[in-house]
Amino acid sequence: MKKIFVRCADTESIRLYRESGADGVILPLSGYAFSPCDCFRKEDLDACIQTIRDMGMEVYLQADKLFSQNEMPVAEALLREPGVLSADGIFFSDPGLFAAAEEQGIAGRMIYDPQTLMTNGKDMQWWLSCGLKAVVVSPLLSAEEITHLGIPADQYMILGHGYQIMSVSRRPLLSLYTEGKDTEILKNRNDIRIREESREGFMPVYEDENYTIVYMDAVLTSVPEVCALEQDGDVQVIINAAFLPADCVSDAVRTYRTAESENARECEQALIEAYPGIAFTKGYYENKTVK
Amino acid sequence: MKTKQLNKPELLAPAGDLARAKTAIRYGADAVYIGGRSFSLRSRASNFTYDDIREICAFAREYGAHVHVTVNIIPHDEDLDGLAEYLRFLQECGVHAVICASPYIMNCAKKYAPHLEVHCSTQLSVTNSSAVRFLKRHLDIDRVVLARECTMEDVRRITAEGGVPSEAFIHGGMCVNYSGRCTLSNRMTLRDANRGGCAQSCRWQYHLYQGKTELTKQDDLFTMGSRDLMCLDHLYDLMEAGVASFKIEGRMKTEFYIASVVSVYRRCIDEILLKGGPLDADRMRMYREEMRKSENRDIWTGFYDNPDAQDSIIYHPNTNVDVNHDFLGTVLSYDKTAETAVIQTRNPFAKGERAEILSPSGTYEPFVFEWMKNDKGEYMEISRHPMAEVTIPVPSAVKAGDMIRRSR
Repeated sequence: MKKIFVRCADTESIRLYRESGADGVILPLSGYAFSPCDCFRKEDLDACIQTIRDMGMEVYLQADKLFSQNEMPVAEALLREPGVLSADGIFFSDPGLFAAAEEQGIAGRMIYDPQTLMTNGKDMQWWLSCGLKAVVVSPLLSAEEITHLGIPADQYMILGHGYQIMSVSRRPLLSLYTEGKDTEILKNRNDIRIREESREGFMPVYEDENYTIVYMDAVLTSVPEVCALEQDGDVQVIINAAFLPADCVSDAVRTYRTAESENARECEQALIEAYPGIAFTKGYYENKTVK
Repeated sequence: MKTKQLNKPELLAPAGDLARAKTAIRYGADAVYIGGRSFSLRSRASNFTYDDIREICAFAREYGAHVHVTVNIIPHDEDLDGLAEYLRFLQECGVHAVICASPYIMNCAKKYAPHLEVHCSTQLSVTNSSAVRFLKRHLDIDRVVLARECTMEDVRRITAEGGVPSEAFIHGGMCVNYSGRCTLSNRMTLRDANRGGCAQSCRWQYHLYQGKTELTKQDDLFTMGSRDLMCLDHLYDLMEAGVASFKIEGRMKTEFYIASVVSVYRRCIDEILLKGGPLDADRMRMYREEMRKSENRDIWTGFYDNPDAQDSIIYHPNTNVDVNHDFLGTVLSYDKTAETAVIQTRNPFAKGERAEILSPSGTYEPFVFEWMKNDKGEYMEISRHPMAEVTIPVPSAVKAGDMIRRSR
C-alpha cells in the first residue's frame, strides 16, 4: 500500500490533491522551512489544519531550517503552538529542534529530513532509536539501495516526485550578484532559473531573507520504483509541488495512486508525455552517484 | 583595551600527505587532520596509507602534536565494510581524534576505539547549542566543529552553552552552501560530494533567467564560488570566546601554502597570548601582509562579522589576485662550513634576485641569489626547471624543510 504526501506550495490546490488520492499534505511553515512557499504561517495554522482534516487528510508541518543560536528560542516556542501540536508530524533537519521536541515530550512526532544525510540503514536506525516517528531517505540513494535499508516501511519516507533541493546557502546569492546592477529585485520570486553554461537544464532558484535554495533542473519521477517498493510492504512517498502547476501535481498524485507494478512504466510515461514542456529525471534511482 | 585570561587554542592544520603533515607540524601546528584512503572526504587529496598514518603519529609525538583523522563521509551501506578494524588501527597508531559526520561511525568509534576522541564534523552544520547538547547526550561527542555559517555571537554562545569544546574554521576555502547538503556536484558530474568527489560545481558559470528573459551577459555570468576565509582579525575574539581549536581548511593545498599560513597564525596566536589582548593595528597589518604571501583566493572574514555575506562571492575567473610571493624551493640540506644550501626548486629564479627564507622559527630573512650551481657543480644564471637540486649561498643557518620564496 502507498501513502502519498504532497509538500504543498499553495493552499488552493489541497482539495485537488485530495481528490486525486493524496493521503496527506506537508505544509512548509513560513520562516521555519527551506521552501519557496510563503503561504503557511503559524498564526493561521489552526484553521488551516482543521480545513485539511475535514477533507480527511493527514497534516504534517515542515520546519526543516537550520536555526542559528539566536533563532532557537523562536524555534522552541514553535513546538508549543497548539496548531503545531495538532499536526500529525513535523519535518525537521536541525538536531537542536529535535532536542527541544524531546524536552517537550513530542519526539515521537518528529520526522528527520536532512536532505542528503540519510544515506544508510544504520544511521537511520540510530535516528529512529532516538524515538522519532520517521526519517526521510536521501535522494542520493538508488532504488536498489533503498530496498536494502532494512527499515520498516512505515518508518521512512522517500522523495518520489517533483523538483528536489540541490543546495541551500545561507547567503543571498541572487541579491549579491545583482547588487549594483540595473536589475529588478529577485528575492521571493518563483520564476528565477539558472543554467550552467555548458548544459541545457534550467534550475529553479529561490532566495528569501534567510537563504538561497537551488533545485534540480528536472522533475524527479519514480513511479516504477515506488511500485516496486510497495511489493515489499507499505511505502510512504513525498511529492513536492514547488514550481509545478497544480494540475501536474494532481496528475502525479493520481498516477502514483493508481499505478501497479505491472503498468508502472506505462503510467509514468503517460504522465511525462502529458507535460512535454517539463523535463523529467529518474534522479539517482537508476543512475547511482559515484564516489 | 579589553584583556582577559586566554587559553591557548589548538592550531589545527590540514595535510594531504605525509610531507605536508610534517611541514604543518614543523611550522607550528598543534595538530594536523588527515584522511585515510577510506571513509574520508577529499578523495582526490593524496590520502594517507596505513604506513603513512603510523609515521605521522610517531612524528607528531616527537613534537607534542596531535593527529586527527577524517572519517567524515556520509556513508552508503556499501561504504561501511572494515570500519571497526580501521578505527582500531587508528587508535593503535596513537591518533588523537576522528572527525565524523555519521552517527553510526561515531558510535562505532566509541565502541571499537574508545581512546579516540570523536569530533562532530562540520558536515552536520551545527549552528546552535541545543544541537550540540543533543549530540553530546546521544553520541557522547568530545568536540563539535561549528558550521561556517555561525556568526561570532553564535560561536560565543554555542561555546559557552554547548557543554562540549568547540572548533571553528579560521582560514581557507568555504562551501557556499551548508556543508553536507549540497548535490550540485552529484547532479552535474555524478561525483558524490559527500563521499569525497566534490567537483566544486558552485564555482562554475551560470546563465541567470527571470522567466524566459536572460539577466546575465556572457562576460558577467552568475556564479556561487565563495571567497576564502581569512580570520586573522578575529583570532582574539575567538580566543576570548573560548574556542578550543582553530581550524585551517585545505587538505588539497600545497606544502608552501601550509607552511606560510600555519606560520602566520602560529605567530599571531602566540603574540596575542603573550600580550593577553588584541594586537594593535600595525601588528595586524604586518600579519595580513605576511598572509598575502601564500596563495589564497580572494578573501573575506566569513559570517563571524558579516551575517549578510556581503562581498563573499568571487565573480571574476582569476584566483590568487592578491598573492605577492612565489614559492621557489625547499631546503634539502645545509653546509655549515660553506654557508650554502641545496634546495629542491619549484619556480624559476635568477642570479641577483632577492628572496627570503621562511622557516619554522618564524623569521623571514631576506637575501640575494649571489650565485647558484646545478647538481653537476656548474654555475648558472637562471634556474628554470622544477624539482631540480640547486646549491645557493644563504646568509644564515637553515634546516631541511625551510622554504625559499620571492616577492613578485
